[in-house]
Parts: sequence; C-alpha cells; structure tokens
Amino acid sequence: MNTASKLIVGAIVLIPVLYLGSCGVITHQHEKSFAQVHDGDTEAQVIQVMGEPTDRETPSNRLAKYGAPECQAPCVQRLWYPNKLSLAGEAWSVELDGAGRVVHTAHITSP
Amino acid sequence: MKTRSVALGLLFLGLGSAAHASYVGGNPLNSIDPTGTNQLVIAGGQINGSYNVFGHVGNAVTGAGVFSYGNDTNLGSGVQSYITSQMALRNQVVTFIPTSPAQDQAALAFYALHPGRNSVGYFDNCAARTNQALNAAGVPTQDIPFPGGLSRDVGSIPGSQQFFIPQGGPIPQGLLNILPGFEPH
Repeated sequence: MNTASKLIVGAIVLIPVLYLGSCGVITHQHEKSFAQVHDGDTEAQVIQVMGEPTDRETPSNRLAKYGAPECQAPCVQRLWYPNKLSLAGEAWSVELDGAGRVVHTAHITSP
Repeated sequence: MKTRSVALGLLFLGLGSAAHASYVGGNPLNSIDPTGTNQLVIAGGQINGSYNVFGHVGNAVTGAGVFSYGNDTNLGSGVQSYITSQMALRNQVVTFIPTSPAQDQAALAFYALHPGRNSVGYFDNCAARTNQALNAAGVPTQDIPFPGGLSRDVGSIPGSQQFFIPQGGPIPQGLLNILPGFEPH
C-alpha cells in the first residue's frame, strides 16, 4: 500500500471517528449543563449555565426545524440549544413563563 | 431549498409522486370499521431547515391517543391535534393497521414500560420504539430503524391503508372519519 492509499484509508477511518467523537462531546457537555437547569430558575441563571441560546421561539414565531409542539401558555419563550452535528436533530429546550422563570425543559432526540 | 426539502421528505417517506397522494386523498375507506380497534403509524418527512434528516414516526392506538417519542409530545395525547401540529411542519403518511383489542392492550402495556416521552436516542429511536410496540402487539415488521422505511414496511401489512397529508394539509376526509376512534378516553 503506497502513501496515498494509506492517507485515503486513514481519512476514511478518521473522519467518522472525529465526527462521532465531536458529536458525543457536544451531547455530553449539553447534558451536563442541562442537568443544572430546574423549574423556577431565571433566564439569567439558564444562560449562565447553558450559554446564549442558538434560537429563541415564541408562541407567535414557531421554529419548525425543531419539530416540537407549539410553545403554549404558560410558555412565552423557548430557548433552543441544538447539537448541530447530530443527524437526528438532537436539541435541548428551556421554556420560560411571563415572569422569565423556567416552566419546562426537554431534551429532544427525534424531532 | 423548500422544494429540495419536500422532495427529500417524500423520498424518506417512500412517496415519489403526487399520483400516490391523489390515490389516498379521496379514499372513503368503506372497509374500515370506525368503531373497531386499530392502530395508526404516523410518519413525518424531513422538516425544512431541520438538523434531523430522517424524519419522525409515532403510533396511535384506539382510544389511547398518540405515542410519539423524542419530540416532547405527551404520551397518549390527542391524535388529530398531533397530526395538525405536525402538518404545519412537514409532509406525513398515516398508515391504518387493523388490530384486535388484545393487540392494542399489548401495545399499551409496552408503552407503560416506557413512560419517558423523550426516552429515545440514536439507535433506540422513534422508529425503533414504534417497531417494538408493533411487535409487542404481534404486528410483524422488519424492524427498519428509520421512519420512512417503517412507513413503507407497515404499508404492506394486509388490510392496511395509507393516507398522505401534505405539509399545510388538508387531512383526507377518510382519515378524519376514523380519527375520533383514536382519541384518548
């Protein structure tokens, strides 16, 4: 096997490993942070733990790409944290009520 | 982009032409007993802009509502409201499967063992969970772990009938006629 062939075979093996590893790391990091979010927390506390959300959803602006049911009362805003490497659409959501408190959390695994 | 997404969704659902949709669209379903016990397999195609390229699938049981794991839907929630909610997002294929009361009870017993509505992952995914419930009920499947493949699979079960619901609707009248039987009591 010449050098070029070895590089190609190496890349074929390495790329999936890197992809799965990276995807797994993102899942693990979000899971770890998500476990610290509880009902009653403030938006500021959520952002401190989870970081700035990728998307913000409201009842009048449903974000179809996440495939979840509508954000309905008491939910007035839903914060989204997707795993952008996941082919299955894995994402974490945090719903806030009118007072800016967490009322529901979800780990979406199959939107 | 939307056209591509719809085409992909149709591909995953195994629906390559509008002719199929027209075939099921106006079916009066005279052969279906709306008071009998049956199940539905509700498969959705890819959502435009979604990270999920596989689509989604769930199951509904007579008198017990819909069981859709992984998208934060309450287990046993209303079937028509679920289909309507999903209809805003994607194309769907709903497969009607005739079953017996014992089969439905077996499926519900399986679901009782899996109370977490988002308790699925990459391999034990929404399609795998639906397959498992159908198998628990004695409905044979090929255990295809993808929504589109499962939808095609159950479409070949003797006595089954399929309805295509385009994104934005409408829900075919034949399906509307039987949905009340699947709403949770």
